[in-house]
Amino acid sequence: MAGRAQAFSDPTVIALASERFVPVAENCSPLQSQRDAKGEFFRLVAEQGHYAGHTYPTGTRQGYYTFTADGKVLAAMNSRDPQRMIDLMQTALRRWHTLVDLAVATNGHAGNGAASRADAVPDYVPARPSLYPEGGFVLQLAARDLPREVDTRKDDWRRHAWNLDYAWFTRDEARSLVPEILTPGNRKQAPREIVRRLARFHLRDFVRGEPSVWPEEAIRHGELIAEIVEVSGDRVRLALRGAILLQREAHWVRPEDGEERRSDTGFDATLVGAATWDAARRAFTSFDLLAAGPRCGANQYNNRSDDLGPAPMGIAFTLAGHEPRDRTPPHTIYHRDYFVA
Amino acid sequence: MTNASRIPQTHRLILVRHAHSSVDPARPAREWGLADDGRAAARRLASLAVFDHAAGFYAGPEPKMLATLAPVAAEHGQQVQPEPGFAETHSEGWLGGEQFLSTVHRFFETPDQPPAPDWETAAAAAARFAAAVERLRARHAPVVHPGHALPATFAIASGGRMLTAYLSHLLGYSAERALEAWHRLKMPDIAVVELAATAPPRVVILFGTLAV
Repeated sequence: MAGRAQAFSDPTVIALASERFVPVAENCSPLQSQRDAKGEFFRLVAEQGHYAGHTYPTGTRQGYYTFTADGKVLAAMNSRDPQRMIDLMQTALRRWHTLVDLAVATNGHAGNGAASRADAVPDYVPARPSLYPEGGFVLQLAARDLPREVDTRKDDWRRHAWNLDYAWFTRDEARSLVPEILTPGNRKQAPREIVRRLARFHLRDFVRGEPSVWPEEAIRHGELIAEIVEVSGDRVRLALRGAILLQREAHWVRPEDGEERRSDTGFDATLVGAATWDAARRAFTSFDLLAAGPRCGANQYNNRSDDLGPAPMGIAFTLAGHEPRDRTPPHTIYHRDYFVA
Repeated sequence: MTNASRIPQTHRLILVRHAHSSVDPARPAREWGLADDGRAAARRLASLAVFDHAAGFYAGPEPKMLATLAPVAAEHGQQVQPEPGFAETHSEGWLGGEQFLSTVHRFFETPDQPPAPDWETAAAAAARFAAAVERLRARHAPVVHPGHALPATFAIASGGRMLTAYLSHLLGYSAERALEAWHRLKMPDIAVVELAATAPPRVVILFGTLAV
């Protein structure tokens, strides 16, 4: 998110990345241990880069890598600074030309290690099963801070930060949001499981980073009500409203020094929205829900230590499309509690 | 603040087999420099980011080893430091073709015995190489950044028999595996080996993977 807001909104970075490179985005977390050709290739790349051998305080390999098709890294770093990104790509281009020009001059070629390595690793097998709810109900989320009366945030990327995520629900869960009898005025309370998933996994303060999920006990209150406002043939229009209150004391240990940190965190979200249900297709054809209200506190990875609040935050949910990108899994999809039968 | 006691005492060695040398049977191999294509390959090595975190560049005293790593060191504003402990295993005389290969086979099959008169044994060579590595490990500490630390990393250029003998010693290769590894080496070639205080040594990137 911060990378998009800073480095990848710079015109020079955009031009270099789109005209001189083949951009690839991947989630490094599973690839760091994925036991297949894809994971093997990622580790080959990562072990030449800025975090090669990095085990302390974590083993993360996140960052930006420029590399040849056969896995030679030309330059790598983990920084969101646009100028450093430009420097990285220019270094990579200079090195690429050295590789290629000298290889041609000596009648060689730029890479001869790929074929033997490809023979040595197994075919691509996803390390984790896809949990995508085929035929189900998929929402795209956008999170950002909302305007404040008094704004003490630094006037840099933090004022403009926003982030995306997806939320997955099954086809049956979609139906469970709609009143049984399709008559205007009828209401339906969303099942506990839907409210729980929204609250724990999707009302996180991920505007600036990647916080962990809310624990079950953080849900102090939660309800979402759908009321039929109009029925026209198979088309059922619904008004959505509700509220979710999340509170907990976050605590974590800084791996750098072993020091324990604590912060009172919370999100007092008011839910409001509208949706259209197609009774013949038994699917939503539109779904817009806004969760807005004051958030507070910091946790290990949400980059809020300088913005404890309370301050307003909004998370907008809308129906996802059908492009490949719209099958991007939710950030927390592999949490054991995401789908609970 | 970083707690120093928590930082893993880990080292990474970037092992570099020298580039293609200019063979001159009239002179000892230890005096050979690089051929034209070897010099070009050495310059290509300087394009690889794997060297970006190397804190030092060391080579055996042979010209072909120093010349292989020189462009890489220059790319990083450094110079190659000669280290006698990283010299190729000592040999005497010119052995052409089959005679040379059979001698190398004996070198790995009977590591405690000279494979030919006045040749260094594989065991002795591995011991001096390992001793030089240990001296450098004492000199290079893990690199601590705000919030994270990286292994101490340095590059070593040497010869094919020497590097294979060292890896065999370090990782317990059989004679067959050592021979196979030696036969598969390219010129130049790179491997990355990790030495940790609390874990067995391991090869992170195999020879042959990043050939230029």
